[in-house]
Amino acid sequence: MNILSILIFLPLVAGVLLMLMPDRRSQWVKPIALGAAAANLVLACWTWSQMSTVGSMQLVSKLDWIPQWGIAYHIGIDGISIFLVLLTTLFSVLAMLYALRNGPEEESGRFYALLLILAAGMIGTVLSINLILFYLFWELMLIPMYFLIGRWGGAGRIRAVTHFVIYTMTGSLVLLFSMIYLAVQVEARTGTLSFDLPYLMSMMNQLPFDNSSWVRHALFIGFALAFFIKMPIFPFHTWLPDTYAEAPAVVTFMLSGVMAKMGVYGLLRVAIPLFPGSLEALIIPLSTLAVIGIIYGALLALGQTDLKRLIAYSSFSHMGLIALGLFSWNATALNGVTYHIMNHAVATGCLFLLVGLIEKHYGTTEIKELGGLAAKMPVFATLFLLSSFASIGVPLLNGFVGEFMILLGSAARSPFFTFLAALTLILSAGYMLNLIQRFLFGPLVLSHVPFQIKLTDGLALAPLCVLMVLMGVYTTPFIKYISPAVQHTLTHYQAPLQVQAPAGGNHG
Amino acid sequence: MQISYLLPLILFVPLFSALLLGIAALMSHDKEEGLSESLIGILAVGAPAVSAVFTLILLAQQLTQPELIWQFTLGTWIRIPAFELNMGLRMDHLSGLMTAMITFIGTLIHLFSVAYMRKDRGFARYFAYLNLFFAAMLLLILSDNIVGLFMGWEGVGVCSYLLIGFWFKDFAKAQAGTKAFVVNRVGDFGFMLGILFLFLETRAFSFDQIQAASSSISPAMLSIIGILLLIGAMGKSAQIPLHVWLPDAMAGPTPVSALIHAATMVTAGVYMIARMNFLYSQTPSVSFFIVLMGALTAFVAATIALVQTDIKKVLAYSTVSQLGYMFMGVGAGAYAAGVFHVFTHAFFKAALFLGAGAIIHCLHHEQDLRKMGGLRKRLPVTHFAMLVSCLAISGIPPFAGFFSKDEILFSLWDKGLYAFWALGLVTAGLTAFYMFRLYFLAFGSDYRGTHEVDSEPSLMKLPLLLLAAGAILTGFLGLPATLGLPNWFEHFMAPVVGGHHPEASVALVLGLMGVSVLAAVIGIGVARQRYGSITEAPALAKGPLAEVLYQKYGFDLLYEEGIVRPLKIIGYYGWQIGDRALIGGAIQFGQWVYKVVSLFARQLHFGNVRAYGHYLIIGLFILFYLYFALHFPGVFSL
Repeated sequence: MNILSILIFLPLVAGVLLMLMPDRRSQWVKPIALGAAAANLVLACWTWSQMSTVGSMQLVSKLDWIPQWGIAYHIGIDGISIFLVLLTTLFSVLAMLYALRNGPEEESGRFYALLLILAAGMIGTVLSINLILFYLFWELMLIPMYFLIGRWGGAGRIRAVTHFVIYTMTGSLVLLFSMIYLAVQVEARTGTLSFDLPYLMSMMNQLPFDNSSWVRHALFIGFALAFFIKMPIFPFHTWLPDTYAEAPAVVTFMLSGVMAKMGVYGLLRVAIPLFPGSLEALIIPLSTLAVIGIIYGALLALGQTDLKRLIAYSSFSHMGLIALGLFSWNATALNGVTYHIMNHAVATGCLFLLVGLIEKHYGTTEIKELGGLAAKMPVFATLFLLSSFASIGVPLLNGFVGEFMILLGSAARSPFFTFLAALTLILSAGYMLNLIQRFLFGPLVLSHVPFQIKLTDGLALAPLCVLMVLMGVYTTPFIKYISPAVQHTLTHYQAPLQVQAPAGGNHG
Repeated sequence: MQISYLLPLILFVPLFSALLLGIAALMSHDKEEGLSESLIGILAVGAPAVSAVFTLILLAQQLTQPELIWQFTLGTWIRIPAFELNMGLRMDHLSGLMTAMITFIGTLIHLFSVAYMRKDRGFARYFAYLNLFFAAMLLLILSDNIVGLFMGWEGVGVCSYLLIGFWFKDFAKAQAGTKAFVVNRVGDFGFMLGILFLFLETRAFSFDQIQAASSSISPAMLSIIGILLLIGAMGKSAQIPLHVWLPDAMAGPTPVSALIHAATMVTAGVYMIARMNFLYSQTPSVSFFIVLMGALTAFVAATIALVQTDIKKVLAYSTVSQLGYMFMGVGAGAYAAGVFHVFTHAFFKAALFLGAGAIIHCLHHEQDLRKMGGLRKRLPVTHFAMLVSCLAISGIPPFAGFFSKDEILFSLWDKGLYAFWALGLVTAGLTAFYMFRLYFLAFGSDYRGTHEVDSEPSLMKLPLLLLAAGAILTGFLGLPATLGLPNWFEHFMAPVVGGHHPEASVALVLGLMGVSVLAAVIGIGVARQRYGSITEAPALAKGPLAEVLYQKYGFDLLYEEGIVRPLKIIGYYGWQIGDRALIGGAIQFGQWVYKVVSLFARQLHFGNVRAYGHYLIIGLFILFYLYFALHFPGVFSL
């Protein structure tokens, strides 16, 4: 069996088994779940070590499923998706470690089971090359998320999760419709019905509507909408603050750390490569949305009074930068985007875990009810400062690497949008340090009993902190794989764009 | 180019020390007693001392070999097809001098800090930050590419933030740190864009390659890049309008003010402009703008310093003002003179800040000049160091400031920038006045305070004396070449920033010197006459002009009310209006439309079976029609 299939099905099977496990065996839940997640992480690392630095898809395996409709179990991995797999598997392990002490007590079996199924969905999404398979895994992510938030979330969880699911489903259905429409149109020209992504890409120029036709743009939007919502991009972000704030810390960690990245991945792998001409035609409105997201998200973060919401809006603001990098669609920017996906996950994830500790111990995340915590808990404060600095892009921490490459790539494309996007340097420092000042510094607000960061929590946080420093200093082990894959993506699916020199277009 | 393994050690020794101290600080936070202060002190002071020794070894060889450039490659930071960014260290004559100055003064300030921070809960944490600052500052100076410089640049900003807010339990101090970082980020925003556009034009990051490619950039683009980089320099070096953070930065421990906010970090902007001299010498309009902003800053800050009563605030505004001089120097193309002023200023301003630190220490944290006086006899070493430094900053020969400041004023005259020369001259007079106002208020007549005055710890005396010696002697490194004297400093710097040999008659040079010394003497005389023999605290100045000065020309007010508050309000209401009302409203509208449509659709299902039967038959007919229409076209077209 292909190693990639094990990566998908190991957590899926383990998750289903845990679901079926009788309650009296509940002492086995945590070891099994953690063991499965850890085994998957090891497998992912092993896969990484097996990969070569060619840009194309590797370890491809294809099984026919419904051949008359062109649906196949077709999976593969390249230098971009490996890091999303690594991210997902690592985050699953860390989430479970963190949940050992801070997760729910009741029905914990289902909680861990759902986390495993979530991981399976995300890994499957990343590895799929067939669109229908992609869509199935894409939807599979949503189901455990619904129960995780709806069952174990905060007071407003039902409203938040309903909002989230309906929003995402809307995008997904449009995506499904667009997929089918595209495949049928291609079939009408070529006689073959297939949902195979490389096949569709090679047939795109057979479509009856040319590169500038609105049908093509509408199809692009149809594909991209689901991804825009998942990331999210302005103005599709309103599900985010509520969901992030109401979900349990572990789930927010997975949601912001990995699931939101699936939107980026979808654009990078599916929507834009299928419709490069549409990206080119719509680049000004799209970049405008991205830049509005950066500034608007940062300003709203400045206005928040709740820790979780503030970090949620900061996460949204950073997503705007990633989106701008994607829309710039050149090698530098795409390397930056892939790198920044990980940076954002690591830094924001760490912040959410730390905030989760605060919420658990003090029962509140209102900033004004906290304050002066640094005096009592220097270790906590140091970790929070480190993550904040990584998040706002201080050099020699990971955030800077991605930010730098994205801005550099986008400057080649459009100095004007880069200028606006670079405002994030000021704004992110503003809201984050303003938060730190109110939350960690100043006099102690309440007689907070300081809490220690316990071993399992430390084990969950430590890899993230190590990654923040390591990825900021030593980028080669990552870039070495990302760069050829980006090059491959650009050269193979970029025919209409190649006319334009990278330093050419100035949309200012 | 010669490879040296000492070069990375200069940087990594403080970094390593910072890590050790940081771990020590975190380990001992909840214990009654941490590691002993003497052990931590040795670990802390040792790092910059070792760096200083290594620097001197390398610099000594550069003294004899004018072409010698030390370098060391650290490794690849990013390698993608579009570019390959290798991190390397490079010590040419400019960075060699800066490194020597920083490590030497840094060691002295570390030593002073051991006495100053005694018995502080955060003793180890303090030195961890300080040595981390060292590593970042040395990266800034020694980097061979502009991205490395930017990394150090941001790194020193972070350490400055941590050290300003060192006593973070005081909300105002934490706030000062935040302000410093955010204002610096405004500068970094420009710097970052400058780096990006510079790369797009030259396809290079290393200074050598940028220099090689810079001649092919169009003048307009060059000016834009110059302005963007300048914004960064103005943020870090506290030039108007980005100067507002530096006075607030005095919230940090006083040795920090001496090291970071007077001698080293704030001069990074001047260093950067000197480093990019090949770019700025091609853009006369940007250079003129640098002179303009420098002159404005020098003058405005000097006037604000006239009315300050907090000893550290006087020194802070005087630092801003002196940085303005340095900007005038590099703006006028006299890069060596600008850096020379950086060099001498580092000594006498560090001495002044440490002297202020000693006073504050001995007076139990009293910083108000009105409650001092008569300290001449009680703190003799401090008095000596501060007197010498006041003379140096006022520009009295033969103290250090005289030579460096006059070099700048002369280069302004030489370029024909007479108005700026005059403004610089007036500022020199003001400087002499407010510095000696400080001197007489602190040391003259009798003690007016209530606190008991402790004696100076001996650990403070040594740094003060050595810095005072620097304030006396460093000027002789750069004697005016126009008088036929050897300007060793300029000669040493020439390989990096080029020679600069204006021809001028000896009479003119002596005349200009005479005028500037006269301005200084007048300033000192007025200060002496006003404050020399006062017996009680002087009243605050009154009148509209004084009010403007107390309000610091309203910059803080403008930023707070004009930018920060509106942004916060936008943030808060943007959430309520943008997210909740507009976008939320649109979604609500969608739901409403859905409900309305379903309301109509529901009317068709009222439970009458006969009606349902009709629907069925109608549906059947439609299906039949479609079947025949699609499969037997022509059936209906009879």
